[in-house]
Amino acid sequence: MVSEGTHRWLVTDVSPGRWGARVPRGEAETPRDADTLSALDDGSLVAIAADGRRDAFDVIVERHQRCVYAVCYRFTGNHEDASDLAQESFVRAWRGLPRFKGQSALSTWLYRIAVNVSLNHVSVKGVPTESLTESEFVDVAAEDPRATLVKRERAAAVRRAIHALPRKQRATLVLRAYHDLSHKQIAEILGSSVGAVKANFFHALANLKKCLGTEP
Amino acid sequence: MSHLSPSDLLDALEAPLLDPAARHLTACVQCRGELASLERMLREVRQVDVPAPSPLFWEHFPRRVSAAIEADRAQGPSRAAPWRRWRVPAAAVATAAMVTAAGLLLGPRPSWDTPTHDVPPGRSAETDAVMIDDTPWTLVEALADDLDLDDVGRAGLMIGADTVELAAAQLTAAEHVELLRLLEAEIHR
Repeated sequence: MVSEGTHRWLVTDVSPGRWGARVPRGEAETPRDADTLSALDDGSLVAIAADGRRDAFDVIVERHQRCVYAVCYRFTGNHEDASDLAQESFVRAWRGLPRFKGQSALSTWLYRIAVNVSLNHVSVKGVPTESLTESEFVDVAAEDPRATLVKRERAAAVRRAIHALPRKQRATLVLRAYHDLSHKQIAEILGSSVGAVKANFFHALANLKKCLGTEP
Repeated sequence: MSHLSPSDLLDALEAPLLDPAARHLTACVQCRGELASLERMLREVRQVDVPAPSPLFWEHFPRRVSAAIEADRAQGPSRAAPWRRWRVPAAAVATAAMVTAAGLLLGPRPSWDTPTHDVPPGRSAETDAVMIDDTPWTLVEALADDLDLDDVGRAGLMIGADTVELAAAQLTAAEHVELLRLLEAEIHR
């Protein structure tokens, strides 16, 4: 979950007077060890990484990898593609880092990249696949295997219905329902208005309702 | 008061509504039903989890990204002077855009209403339009031939995902009618 405004340029003072603002490139002393880097906020890490410091970017990756992977998984439906797309998202983020000016939170920017990478992939590759572990293996030791099977089938139907949504509705639903982003943040990520995001979210839910029926 | 709007219903999913919408919701069975079904759907959607990869995956992932960046850097042009990478493609794209714009502005425009019965036998209006447009298009094609799609995209010169959908959503009712007319004319051409 992302709270807006927590990853701005003004940072927690790790070392007073040194990291209170975005570090001017090539001028400031930069922290050397991983622990110090881990303590920095996103804005400072971006500034350091944009100077070519890969260890700073590693910390960014560690910090955001789960969210980026989850977005990619929601679009692809399988681990292999999701991990490839998450990797591609971070490679693009590294390339784009010098152009990232911090107008939006780093997490918002990374979400935007992941959504674009995923949407491009899905439009090229078509309907996502679902892994065996996800849909077919039923734990017979569970309390009620039949109920578990019904639940999994329904979950698979929900996933298919989500994947069948128009791209913008799908992206909006994923970011709102699973990542708890505000309508405003989603609007930033998708480059649309808050009104359009709300309309897409409403239509996404209405379409799912139509497709799946009301009762599980 | 009329029924709650989609926006009101979404707001009601997140927080209690204020009057008069709250009063309406209390009184209106239809809106309560709509809200309840949206809530059910959202709850069901949220129950679909992303299976967690192994902890080892997370441990390894930054190294994997790092290797991919290294490979990307080894393949691509130098990161130290990004403007150099842009000089040639940007100039080519700018030229292509100018040629296209000039072609569109100065060249004869095929009319949607071109009467086909005025065209001499053996030549159609479409053939003429293609012949007229052919020269600038060939030039554009030649100029754009070496461009990398990623570079064009990064330069903001490509239509992004859902741009058309977004543009269509922003049209006024009159513009929608005109768009429909134009599309139908094109389909029946």
